Amino acid sequence: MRADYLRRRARVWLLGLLAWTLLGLLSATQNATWRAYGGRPVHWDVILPVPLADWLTCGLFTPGFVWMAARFPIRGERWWAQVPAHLAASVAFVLLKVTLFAPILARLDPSDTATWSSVLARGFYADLLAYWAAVGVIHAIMYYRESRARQFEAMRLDHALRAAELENLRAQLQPHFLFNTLQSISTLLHRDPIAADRMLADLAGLLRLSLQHSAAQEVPLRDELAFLERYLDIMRTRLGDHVVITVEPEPEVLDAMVPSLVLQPLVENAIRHGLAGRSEQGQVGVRATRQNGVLHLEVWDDGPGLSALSAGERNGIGLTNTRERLSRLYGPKSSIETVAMPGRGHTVRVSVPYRTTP
Amino acid sequence: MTGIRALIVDDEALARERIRTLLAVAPDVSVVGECTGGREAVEAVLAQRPDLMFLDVQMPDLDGFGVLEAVAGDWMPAVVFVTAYDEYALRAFDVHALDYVLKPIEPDRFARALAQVRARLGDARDQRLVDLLDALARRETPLDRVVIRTRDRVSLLKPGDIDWIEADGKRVRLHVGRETHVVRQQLGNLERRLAGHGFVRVHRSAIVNVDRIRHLEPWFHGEYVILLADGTRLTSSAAHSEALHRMIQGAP
Repeated sequence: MRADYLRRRARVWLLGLLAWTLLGLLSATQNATWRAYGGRPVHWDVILPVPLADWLTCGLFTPGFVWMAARFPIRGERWWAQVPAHLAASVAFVLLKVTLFAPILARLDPSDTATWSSVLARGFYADLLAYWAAVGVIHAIMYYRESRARQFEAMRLDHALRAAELENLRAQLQPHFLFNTLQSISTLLHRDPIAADRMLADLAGLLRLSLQHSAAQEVPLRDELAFLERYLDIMRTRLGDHVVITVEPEPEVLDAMVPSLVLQPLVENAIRHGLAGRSEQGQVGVRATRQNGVLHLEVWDDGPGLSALSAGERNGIGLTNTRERLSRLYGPKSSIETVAMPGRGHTVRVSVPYRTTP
Repeated sequence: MTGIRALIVDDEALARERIRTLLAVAPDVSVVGECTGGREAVEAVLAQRPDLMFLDVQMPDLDGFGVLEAVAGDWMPAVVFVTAYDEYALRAFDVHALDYVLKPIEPDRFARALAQVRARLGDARDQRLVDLLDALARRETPLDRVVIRTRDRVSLLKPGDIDWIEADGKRVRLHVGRETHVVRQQLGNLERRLAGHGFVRVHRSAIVNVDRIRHLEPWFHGEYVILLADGTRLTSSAAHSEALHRMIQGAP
């Protein structure tokens, strides 16, 4: 990691050095061409070092340019507010640069009777332009990098979104759930056609709602519970006395907006893990409460907790998806936590901001 | 002819009822018992010795394969597997040409499976089941429950409860607190399947739950003396010390 970082830094410095050297060489060539055109002698030993030293002196200030561009970026709606800072900095740069360069010039070209003020007068605008050009190029590089990073992030988010949606759908249509429910219906058909009918309607309702789900990201808790009730109806019929499932929302939170289909996967997990490894009756419950502007949704079971299953198994893919979805919808204002008491059950608690309108 | 005595094993009541309903057209089959879980099924197979078992693959306590492993060697009825959806199981059934039906069960398919059972019922030992068990023993999936059978009951042990395991001929002794259970299993097989639960082989004939190690004293030639939480002292052999060492070093 660290070595990688150092290598990247070294490359940036090398590229900077090359850029300024190239400018120096171009400027020297220009000078030589100009002299040759006018029929004057071309002394490379003088023509080469002077512009090279001139540009490399500018190059010494590169970290300052980068700092200025990062600290006072000329962009956004108030881009003009940063201009005075850059004006001041550009003048300061010219003065400093001339102070450094004048003695160098005097040494490189003894024929030139360069003084501080003459060097300043000669190069003021060129140096000023150098500042603005350098800061401009740095802005361009920064823009480019940011847009690349934004593109990458957008792609990643898009991918995560699709994956979560698919996973949600798949979780809804768990083949196990589907086929076991169909098996139950085929049994009931012979004995209790009315119950079979109701189960079929519940199943159809679940399938329809889970296919529609991507349309609405948030629904009132009331609707979410109605959806859950269809699922629970099926599970109660299928599991019979194996499990007792209770749903206890505080009446005043029924209008709160919640992510759609957030509860069903959690309840399914609770049933699966709450019953794992036991043949006696299990209990699963759903609670909804409001506290200081936060809505808490809790799904608990009285199964073996963490003693029999590792946290990784319990928090599997379903919880990861819920977490991803919550953070997309509410950012850091939401949370999902799991509390396990070995031997005494397990609780998953989802907290989202309490709101009653979408 | 006394007819076929069948056992139905499924954790869902409606699924068991479905099989009973389908059996109404097969007067030669009588249902001698219904079980709601794997542990119960093992007990029922050993107590009732049925000819045929309708066995659900996915059950919360002990799955269908676990039931087979537990009863193998004592009494193996003919088996018709029942599954909702399990790619692994379906592959295994196809490989060994075993009888299975899918939920929701089609009457035709069910009748066919039953016909095959009738045709084979003479075989005392169904080689296909033996092969399936061999394949299961080689699978790398971690073991969730170890089945302990005493004379009249079956209990399930979580791997984490086991302190250490000692080979004893063709059996192993599981040391669990003050109790010792003898289980017909091979140490090598247990070692592979318990590796994910924090067990390590310390000796040709011993596996130890790493959580129970109180401390290690270096001994001669790269060997260690291992002191367990319950006071048991074991000596690791040089050949297995490296794995032990790696495990301890890797522990947080």
